[in-house]
Amino acid sequence: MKRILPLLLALVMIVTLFPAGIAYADDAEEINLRLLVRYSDDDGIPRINYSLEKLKEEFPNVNLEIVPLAADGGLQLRTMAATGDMCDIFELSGDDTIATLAKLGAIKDMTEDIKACGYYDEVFPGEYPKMVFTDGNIYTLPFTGSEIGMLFANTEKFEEFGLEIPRTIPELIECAKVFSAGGLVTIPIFAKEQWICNALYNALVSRYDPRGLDALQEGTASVRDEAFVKAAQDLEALAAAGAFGSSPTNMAYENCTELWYNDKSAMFLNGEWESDSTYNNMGDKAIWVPFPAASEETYDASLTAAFGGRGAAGGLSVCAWSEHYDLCVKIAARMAELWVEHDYIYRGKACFALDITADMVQEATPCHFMTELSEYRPTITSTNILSGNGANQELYTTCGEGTQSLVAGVMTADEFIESIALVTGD
Amino acid sequence: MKKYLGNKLMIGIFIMPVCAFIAVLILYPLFILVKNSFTTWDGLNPAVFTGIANYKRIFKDPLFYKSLKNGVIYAIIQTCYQIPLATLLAFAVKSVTNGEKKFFRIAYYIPAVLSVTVVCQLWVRIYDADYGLINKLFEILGLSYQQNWLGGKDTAIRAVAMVGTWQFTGYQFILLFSAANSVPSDYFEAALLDGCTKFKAHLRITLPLMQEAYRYCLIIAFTGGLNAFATMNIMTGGGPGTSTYTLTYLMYRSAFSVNNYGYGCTASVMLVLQSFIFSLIVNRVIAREQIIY
Amino acid sequence: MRTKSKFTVGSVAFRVFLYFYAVVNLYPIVWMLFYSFKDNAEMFVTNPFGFPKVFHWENYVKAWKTFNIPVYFMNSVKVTVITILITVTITTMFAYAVARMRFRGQETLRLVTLIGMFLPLQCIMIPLAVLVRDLHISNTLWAVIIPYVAFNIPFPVMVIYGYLRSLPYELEESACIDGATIWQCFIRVIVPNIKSAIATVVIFLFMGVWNEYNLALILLTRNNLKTLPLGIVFFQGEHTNDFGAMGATMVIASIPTIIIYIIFSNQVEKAMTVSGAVKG
Repeated sequence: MKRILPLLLALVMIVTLFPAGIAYADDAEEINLRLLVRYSDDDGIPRINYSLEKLKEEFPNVNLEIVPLAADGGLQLRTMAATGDMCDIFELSGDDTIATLAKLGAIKDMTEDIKACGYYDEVFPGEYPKMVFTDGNIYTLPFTGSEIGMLFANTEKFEEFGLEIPRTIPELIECAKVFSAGGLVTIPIFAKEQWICNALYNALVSRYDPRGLDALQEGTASVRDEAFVKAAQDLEALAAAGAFGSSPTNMAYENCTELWYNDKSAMFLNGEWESDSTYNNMGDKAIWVPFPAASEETYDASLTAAFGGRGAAGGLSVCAWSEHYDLCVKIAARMAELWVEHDYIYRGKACFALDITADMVQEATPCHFMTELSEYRPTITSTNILSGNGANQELYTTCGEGTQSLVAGVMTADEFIESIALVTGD
Repeated sequence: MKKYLGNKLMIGIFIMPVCAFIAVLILYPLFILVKNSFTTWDGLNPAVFTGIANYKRIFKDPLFYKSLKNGVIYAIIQTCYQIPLATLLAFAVKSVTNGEKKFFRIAYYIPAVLSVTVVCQLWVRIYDADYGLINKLFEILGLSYQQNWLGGKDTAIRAVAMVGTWQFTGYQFILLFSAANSVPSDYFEAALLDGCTKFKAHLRITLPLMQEAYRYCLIIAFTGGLNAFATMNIMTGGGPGTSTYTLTYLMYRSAFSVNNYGYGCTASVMLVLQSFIFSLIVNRVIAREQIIY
Repeated sequence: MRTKSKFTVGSVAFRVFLYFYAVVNLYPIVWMLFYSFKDNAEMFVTNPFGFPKVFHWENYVKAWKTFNIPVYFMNSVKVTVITILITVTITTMFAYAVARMRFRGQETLRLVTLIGMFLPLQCIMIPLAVLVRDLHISNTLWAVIIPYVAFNIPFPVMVIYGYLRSLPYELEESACIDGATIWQCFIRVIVPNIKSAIATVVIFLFMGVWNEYNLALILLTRNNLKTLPLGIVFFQGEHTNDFGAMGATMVIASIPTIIIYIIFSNQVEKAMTVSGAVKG
């Protein structure tokens, strides 16, 4: 001990000679901006790097430093706002977060600024809800469209088990029983995350009432209405039939895609963003099927009732307290455009948010899902928010917990309805 | 002697740094916590005073009682597993050869060195209902007792508790090992000379002399269980549904999922009270008198 | 009188149990090492527990290139060392005052320090961040060092207090008779007798501070100040996580903790053999 102590003291003296923090050299010409974005997977990294390259050309005196956004429920962002130390440009979503930041003054209306730089005119009117917040101000610059939910099916598996693609929910339940008996997971749900359970429930509800969970959020329907009760019972039945495997709440997205891509499941529930991954990994045996309708009679109506497709405000935002606010708005708008551009050209993804791809040449061929989606979109008669995430966060959270319990088979439909009723006061 | 040990200046110097740190970084945030537990607050904007509404609500909240129950289950599992096992290991390692001692000391503490994330990831795989080690083991042994460990309503909290417990047994082991070694061996050897078995000697002599150590081990084990959060956050996300909620999770949910920090603060206050009361009880019951070697 | 170990069934079974449990405890490190070489597919479905079939060295390359490991490592070292030095010093002094000196309210004071252990971090995170800003230590390493010291006070106080209570009062008495001041008594007589407690505390502090993630994430916002555990944030994506690279990061982060533990537990061992403070 006696020998270690002086050693440690010496070590401390040495290391404290190095400055604990390096001050930024802030030239009049060089501007350093901080960018808070999700920087990890195949979705994020390529397009961020692409946009940084291009931005360097267009704004040569600007250095953009990436600060990775942590998946911690918004704590990092809020703390930054609380201490006034926000990143100049950041990814923002969630009605409650936006409302809180707006009230605090951390973000402000960007309508005039983006009209001036031309971004405003590029946004498809159908996507205005992603840009314009409920209070009428623009706080976020979207770079993705409101994507709809998609149900995929593995044709080989259906053939193997001698089943037809189910057209109605009862048929789906029957298929689930057959697949279960054969040791196959019908629809792997990464129930570790609550939103996908909500999305599935929303898909079921919207077969009975196209408004889906939005009606509950907006208070225009009661949870005791037929749509919600029947959907809960369907979900309970699906879980009981073993559609989701034996431990869905253990599964993360990676587990599910491993099952799906490797022929270990019959179907997969996700959204538009999944289509090119599915195509790349599975080729032609994966097809997009309409979500099973409530009954044969409602089948045709159900085809055009999308689940998802309606976005809430979200996208890139700029800190109102930033020293270089105007420049940041321009850069943020340009970055959104570049992300869209990158995904269109290099990943074959059509963009439904910004109308800028007319003159661009795609290098990656869009998969057939893209074509199907663009043919489908004009026929949609109703949309809703895919995960049911709305202004009422207590309801959204309780619903997520409930649907997760239903998927896991630890709650009955009645208990679920009661738990929601407690929150909505029905 | 009294003057020597009652030297006010020296006392002041000795306690001042800790008092400063505690006052500024613990008592002040605690004060803010308590203050905000009487408000509705979104975390950033000024809080809106609502009186005891949050407290009324929490006592009626079924999730609160479920969290309390889960916390107690976790704490009991943790205490009942860690303390006896750590005691056993500490004494066992004391009596093996030197080389083995080094090996065991390192081996038993290693899980505590790893980050919680890694350990939880591992156990999620082990607990997997289809591919996991545990169910496979039961299969090999011919038992049909396979469970959906992390997905069952009642098994989930116990399964999660075992993970946290197992990881930090190393802590208790080190503490008790240290304490066991500080007990002068004279008493123990005297007992052996008098014809006592090793086991009895340990039981009657060494253990009581380690009461101080047991006091803090008990507090750490039990309150650690009550406040558990990271394990359930990583392994089950509080689920399935809300089956693995503890008070800390309830607080997390209020603050971040529902954006009602005020209610989250209320849950925190209940949490702190819970742990504090337990510590006071342990303090009163165990090692009340000083034991001087 | 030495008792020879007898090879009874009991003792053999006992030894087997000890070794078995040791293996169970060592497996996670091995597992972590394995999965740092796997990709998501192998890790999740095909081969979660076994030796990697394909060695994905690129996980390590990726971890190394994605964020500045040497800088993060040095920051971790600085933060941990400074925190430990400050914490050990002040908590030993405090524990001594509360355990051995006499003044009113010493027991209450000790109990009050316990509260720090129960405070749930997430709820005080935001007030804490504002406090750090108001103390003008944000954007320096002190932003985390000061909170780390504060939150790591209760545990050492508890442990050292426990040890101190078992020391005989003769120690102070003889020092007093020899004409030492309280401070000299403290440094020369008391501290050497609780070396094993201090070493134990150092081990725990090291583990706690080195691996700490939540506070560091919130309070260290500049990339050149970040500590090693924060590196894994770079691998948490919107839809998926890159577990292989995360694993590589964690292996790199865990190696120092294991080394320090091995070194220090030897110290604890050495210190502990000098037990039996005042005899004759």
